[in-house]
Order: sequence, then structure tokens, then C-alpha cells
Amino acid sequence: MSKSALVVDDSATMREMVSYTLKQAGFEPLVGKNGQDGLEQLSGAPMDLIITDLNMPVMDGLAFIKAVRARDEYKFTPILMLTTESQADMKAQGKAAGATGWLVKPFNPEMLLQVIAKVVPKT
Amino acid sequence: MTTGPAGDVTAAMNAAADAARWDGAPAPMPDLRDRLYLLRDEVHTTLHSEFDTTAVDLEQLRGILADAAEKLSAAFCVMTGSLSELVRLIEAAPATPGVAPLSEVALIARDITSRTGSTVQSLQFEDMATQLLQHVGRRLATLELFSKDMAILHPHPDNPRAPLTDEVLDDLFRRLDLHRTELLAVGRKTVQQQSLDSGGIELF
Repeated sequence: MSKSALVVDDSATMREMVSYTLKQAGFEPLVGKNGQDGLEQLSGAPMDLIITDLNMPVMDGLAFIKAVRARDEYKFTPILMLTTESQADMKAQGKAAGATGWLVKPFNPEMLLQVIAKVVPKT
Repeated sequence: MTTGPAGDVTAAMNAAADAARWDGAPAPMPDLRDRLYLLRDEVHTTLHSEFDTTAVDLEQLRGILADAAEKLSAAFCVMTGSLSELVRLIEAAPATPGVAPLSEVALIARDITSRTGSTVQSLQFEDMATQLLQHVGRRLATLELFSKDMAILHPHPDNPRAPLTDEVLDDLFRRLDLHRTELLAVGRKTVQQQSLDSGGIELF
């Protein structure tokens, strides 16, 4: 049985590349163009993994993570921040918002899958 | 006859030199003053026009980048999809005696597929480049505010040579100080990467 994932990024290419990588690992990814769109995609459906960008229009990654964590059904869902930003203060904000991990773009597909294997519980 | 701000700088300097030669005599001074006003107006107009042009160029560049990356990633997905299908067909095909085993072709196809990682990594250039362009755009927009506020030195459109009052200058300093804060706020560049090597990973 395939696992569910949500990819939130304002770049169509990034959504495509992350989704492609996740499909290789047996995920069925949904996509969102920004935080708000990502929240609408969730709509209470069970989610094994969420990968989100930080800098996005309408709703950024930090606000998105806070909104996701506020929902009981996603309190323990692994959320990875995938962003170009690598400053310590931004990482601290991500951690405080509820991110599970911080990945700096560009990502290497193999490394991403290794990280996912660590944070997504095996079924 | 001048041909833009650079020419006016020269003209203004010439006028200043003339004024010095006349040893402060009144005749050339109005000329110098007029040229300086002209210079100020032209600099403002030219800067404003350049800012507008640059903003349009940046937007177009973003569009071109997004379009190119979208086409590349679509081609990439089609290519990898075809390879996967090829591998699947080969693996399902029965072996034919005397014919080179199809599994060798499958190996090649699988090898190509396994090397797609670097393509996935490279295609992310669009996102990084777009964010850098956005950063440049934000910096320019703030700089343009400085330029626009300099127009306050023209307090009376009907009487452009009216003297500047303390009030006008105070207001100008207040605005410039505000813009300096805004400029510092957009100083943080979201993209620090110098290459397309994969970035760091940290689990909390």
C-alpha cells in the first residue's frame, strides 16, 4: 500500500522534482502551491509525510507548519522544511513552529529518501 | 546641448568652472543653477525609467526561467517514465536463444534511470535563481523609494526654485531614515548557495 505525502512549494519545478522522488519511494504525493493551498489539500486526510518550502506567497512555510500542527490529526506527522535558507535563526524558527527536519536546497534525491526513511514510521 | 545626466554633469561642471573664472560675478550663476536643477530632474527621470525597465526585465527573466525549467522537468518525467516502461517490458519478455540477452539493455536503462538524481538536483536551479531575482527586485524597489523621495526637493511644482524649508528637509530625512530601515530589512538574502551541490540536512 502506497503512502501519502503532501508537497508544498511555489515553484512548479520543485513540486515536480520532489513528487518524482517521492513516487520512486512508493509515495502518492499531493501538491500545494503555497501554505494556504497546502492546508486545503490536507482537508483532514491522513498524511504520512509533509514537505514544505519556507518562502512562499499567500502563506509561508512557518505559518503553514503552525497551522498544520494546530490540527490534532497532524500533530505527529513528519514535516520536513525544504528551503534555500540555511541561517541558524531561520532553522530555530522552523523547529519552534514544529518542523521535524530542515533540508537545504538543492536536495539530492537519494539523501532525501534516506531522511524520509528515518522520519516516516515503517508500516 | 546635453545628452542626458552624464552630459549635464559635464555641463554643470563647466558652468561651475566658468563661475570660478568670473570670480563670483553674477552672470554665469543662473546658468549653473539652471543646469543643476536640470541635472537633478533628469537624474530622477532617468532613474525612475531605469527602475521600471529593470522591474519588467526581472519579471520577464523569471517567466523565462520558470518556462524553461517547466519544459525541462516535463521532458525529464516523460524520459524517465519511458525508461521505466522499457525496463518493465524487457523484464517481462521471454528470453530468445541465440540473441543477446535483453537483460543487458535493461541494465543500461536501469543505469540511466539511476543517474537521474543529478538531473533532479540540477533542475532546482530555477527555484534558486527565481528567489535571487526576487531578492534583487526587492532591493531595487527599496532603492527606488530613495529616488522617489528625492522628488520632495521639488516642493512646489509651480515654483520649482522655491527655497527648501527646514520642514521639507526634516520630512525628507525622516523618509530616508525609514527607507534605510526598509533596505536593511530586505538585506537578508534567502539564497546563500554558491553551487548546485546538495545542501545540508538537519533533523530536530
